[in-house]
Amino acid sequence: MNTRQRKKHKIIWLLLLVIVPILLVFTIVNLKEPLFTHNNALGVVKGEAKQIMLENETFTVLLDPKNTDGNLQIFLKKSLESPAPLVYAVSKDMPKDSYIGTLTAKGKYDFKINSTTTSVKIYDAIKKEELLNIPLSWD
Amino acid sequence: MGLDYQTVLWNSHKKKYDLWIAIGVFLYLLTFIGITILTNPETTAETLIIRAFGTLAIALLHIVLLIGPLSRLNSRFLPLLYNRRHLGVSMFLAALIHGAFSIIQFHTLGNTNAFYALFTSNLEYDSLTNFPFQVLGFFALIILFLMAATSHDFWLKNLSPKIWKGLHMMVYVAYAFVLLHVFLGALQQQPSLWSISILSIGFIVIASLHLKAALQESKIDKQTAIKVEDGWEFVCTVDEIPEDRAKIFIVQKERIAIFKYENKLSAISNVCKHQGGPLGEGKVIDGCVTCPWHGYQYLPANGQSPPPFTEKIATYRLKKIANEIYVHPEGLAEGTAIEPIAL
Amino acid sequence: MELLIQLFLGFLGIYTVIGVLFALYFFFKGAFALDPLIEESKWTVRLLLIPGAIGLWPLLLFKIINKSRTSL
Repeated sequence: MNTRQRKKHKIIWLLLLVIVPILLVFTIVNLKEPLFTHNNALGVVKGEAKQIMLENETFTVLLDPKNTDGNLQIFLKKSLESPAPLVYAVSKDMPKDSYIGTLTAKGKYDFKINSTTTSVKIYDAIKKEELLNIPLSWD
Repeated sequence: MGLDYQTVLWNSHKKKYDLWIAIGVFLYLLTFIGITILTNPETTAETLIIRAFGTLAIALLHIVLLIGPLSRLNSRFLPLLYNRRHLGVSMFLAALIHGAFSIIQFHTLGNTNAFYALFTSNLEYDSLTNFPFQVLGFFALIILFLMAATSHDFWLKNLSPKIWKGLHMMVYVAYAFVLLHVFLGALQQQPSLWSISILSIGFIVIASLHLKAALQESKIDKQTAIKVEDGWEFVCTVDEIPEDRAKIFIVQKERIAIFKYENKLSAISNVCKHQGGPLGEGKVIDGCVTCPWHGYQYLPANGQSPPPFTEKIATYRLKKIANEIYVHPEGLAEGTAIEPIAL
Repeated sequence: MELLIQLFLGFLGIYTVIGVLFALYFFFKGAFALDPLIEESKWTVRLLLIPGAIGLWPLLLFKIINKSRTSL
C-alpha cells in the first residue's frame, strides 16, 4: 500500500466506524418484535381448545374461551410461501398489535391470549402484507 | 508475472488453499443443513438454500475482511493473503446463489417482473428502520459481482491499479450493505440475540483489527530521519541490514526499501507494482528483489522487472559515509538505473 | 417512486444488453486491442473476462478508443 491508499482506507474506516454502529443500534432498538418472547408463547398449554375459529386447507385455528388466559391453537397444515410469518394478537385496548409468535414450519402452535383480543393476524414481514386476519369469538 | 495470461496460475499452494475452501464450504453447508433438518424439519428446500448460502456468504466475507489486517499484524497469516481472491470469488458465488433463490422464492410467483417486485414490495425508502432490505442485498451483490468479475491480473493491469483498487475497496460498502440487509431483513423477521451478537462481534473484531494495523503502520509512517546531511537523510548503519534483505525507510511520506545483496546496496520503492505488496519484506533471490505477496521480481539496481517482464518501480540514490547509509529523498523515475553502493 | 424505479431498472436492462453485445466484441477483438499480451493467451482467459466486460463496458470502450487514438 502507498500513502494515498492508506489515507483512503483511513477515511472509509472512519465512516464505517461511525455510520454502521449507529444504524445497527437503530435497527435493534426499533425491532418490531421483542428479542425475548414469552416462554409459553409457543409452548403447550394445559386444557383443550374447543371452538373452531377457522378451518381451511392451510389453517385450523381453535380457541378455548373458558380459559381465562385464553388458549389459542394454530395448526399450520401446509407450508406457506413466506418462510416465517408472524402472528399478532389484535386488541381494541392496545394501540399496537402484540406479537405473539412466528410460524416457522408446519405443525401445532399454542398461544396464550386474553379475552380482550378481538382477532389474530398472520403477517408476512418480507412482503409487508397481511396474510390472514382471524376474528375471535369469546362467547 | 507472466509472458501471457492464464485463467489461474496454479501451483501447489493455490491448489491446497482451494481444497481447504472447498472442504470448509462443504462442511459448513452440511452442518447448517443438518442442524436445520434436526430443529426445523418442515423447512422447505428453497428456504434452506437461501439461509444456508446467505449465512455462508456472510461468514466468508468476514474471513476475507480479516485476512488483510491479520497479515499486517502477524506474518504467519501471509499465506492466507496469497490466494485471497479465490476466497472472494467463492464468497460472491455463495451470495449469488442466495440472491437468485431469494428472487425466485419471493418475487417470481406473481405477475410482476421479479426485479420490479424486488424494488417495489417495500417502498419505504424514506424510512431508516423500514428501509427495503432486499434492495440493499441487491446492491451488495452488484458490488461483489464487479469485484469477482475483475479478480484477474488482466483487469489489474488494464483497468490500471488505481481504478482496480478503487473498485475493490468497494468491498467495505458491500460489507455495510450486507450488515444492514441482515439487520433490516432476517433479524426483523426472527429477532435472535445469537445472530445480533455474532454479527456485532464480527464487526467489532474486523474494525478493531483494521484499526490496530492502521496504528501500527502509522507509527512506521511517522518516522523521520534522525539526521540530515546536505539534504541526504540518514537511514541506518550497514550492519543493520541483513544479507539479501532490506531496511524499510520513509522519505517524503512514501516507503522505500534499501536492499543489501552481493556486497552492494540499492534503494527502490517499497511498493510492488502488482498489488502494492511490501517489497522491503521480501528477499533477494537470484539477484532479484522478490515480492513476498505474489513473487513479482525487480532488479535492485534499476527497479525493472527482469526481461521479458515490463514492470518498473522508482529507484533512489544512496551514499555511504563510513558505516552509515544515507538516502536522497527525491526518487528517480521508475526504472532508472543507479549504480549500487559497493561495500 | 415507482417511475424512478422503472427508469432505473430500464437503464440497468439496457446497460446489461449493451454489455453482453460488447462482451462478444471484446471476446473476439476488443481484448486484443486493449492488451496485446492476450494474443499469447488461451481463449479460456478471454472467456473468464466476459463478466467483467459486461459489467465495465463503458470504461473498457473508453480505454480501447483512447488506445487506438494514441497508436494512430
